[in-house]
Amino acid sequence: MSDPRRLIDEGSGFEAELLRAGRGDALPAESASTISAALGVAPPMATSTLATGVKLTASQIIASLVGMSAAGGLSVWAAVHLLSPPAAPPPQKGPEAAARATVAAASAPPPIISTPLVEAPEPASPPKPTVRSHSVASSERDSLPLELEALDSARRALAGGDASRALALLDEYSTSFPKARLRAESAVLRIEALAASGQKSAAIRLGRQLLAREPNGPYARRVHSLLEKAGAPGTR
Amino acid sequence: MRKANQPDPKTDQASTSGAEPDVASATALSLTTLVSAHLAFVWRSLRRFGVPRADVDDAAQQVFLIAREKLSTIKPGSERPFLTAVALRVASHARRANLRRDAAHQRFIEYQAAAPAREGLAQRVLEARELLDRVLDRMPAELRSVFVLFELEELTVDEVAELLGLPRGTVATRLRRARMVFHDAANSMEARSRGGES
Repeated sequence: MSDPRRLIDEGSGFEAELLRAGRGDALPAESASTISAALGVAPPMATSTLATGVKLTASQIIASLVGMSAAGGLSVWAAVHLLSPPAAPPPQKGPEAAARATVAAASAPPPIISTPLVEAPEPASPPKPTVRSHSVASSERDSLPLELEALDSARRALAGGDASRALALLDEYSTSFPKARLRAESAVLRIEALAASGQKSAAIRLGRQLLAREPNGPYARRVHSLLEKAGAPGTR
Repeated sequence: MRKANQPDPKTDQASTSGAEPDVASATALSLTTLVSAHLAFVWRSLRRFGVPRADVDDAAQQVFLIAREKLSTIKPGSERPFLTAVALRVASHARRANLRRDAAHQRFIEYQAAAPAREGLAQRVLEARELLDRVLDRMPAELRSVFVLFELEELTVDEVAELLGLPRGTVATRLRRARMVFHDAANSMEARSRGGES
């Protein structure tokens, strides 16, 4: 028997909006560090946190933002890695690497679990947590899911053929997130939206600026492709 | 099948060192693996099962502290169902504790937490998230867990059934009922936001 379609695909606009907002509510990197430190274990690598925490948004949205599938030239994993905070620990060998491999697998559809549910203990007198939450401190990092949501709105507008709306949303994104972490992604979207709205010169100019700044960046190939489509001479 | 309390050669360095791993190091490594693999899922689940944002870190820590106590009883492959069950119980406790709090104070804390990003689209996303919390709060816990795992975690009905230890038919029924609650709550909320009653 097949599963019903998810509400985010078939519910009303308002229902879908609520669900999209909920999907973006992911584990902040700082929370991962805080909780891990309190438990006395190494924190999950930031990329893992993002990839699983924003599994339903980051990996899919980033891939769709730049128009690449996971099997394409740039993996979603690598794209997410570029967004990891600077405090991310270096790659390690041994059990940590094995654990991360498990986490990487978790970003794929979760495995079917064949063992019966283990009876969970009653947390009647559970060990007391030793740290308090750091919601305020982590709020800046919490903006990543919000940025993803904002860019996804622009992407959807563009995919729906409303390039002007996409550009307006991208302007709003720039205003809302002065310290945006997804600037490159928004620039790629803007190039596409400019081209789609007939502003090919502006698209080409922005594309060249982006390539000049990051000639080997993760989106270079995509930008080259967009510039070619926009009719820019000598882009290769 | 490997016993639960035997070190996993794929994840436990000590088992490949030739030395007999002591219990403490084996536990630490297993907890590390558990946290690495499941922290993000546990955190999201707690949040979606109704733990206020300001309390989620503590609740997540609590889940893993309980898991650490029970490491030797968790069967390989059933880590996630175990953690889900613990998270459901911890969330239930947290929700009850939260009900006793002053609601205005709680809103203030969450507003403060979100303040730096409350502009433009960011504000709308946060507001939508707050509304989603309120809609989910209207669901009984047994419906909420199924709804969250299917609609937000994007698990299949079979996976939800495995995770919660329920028959597939029960999951499907609960999902239908949860969707009705969600639909009604979202409709009334949308109507109010369009200038109806306050």
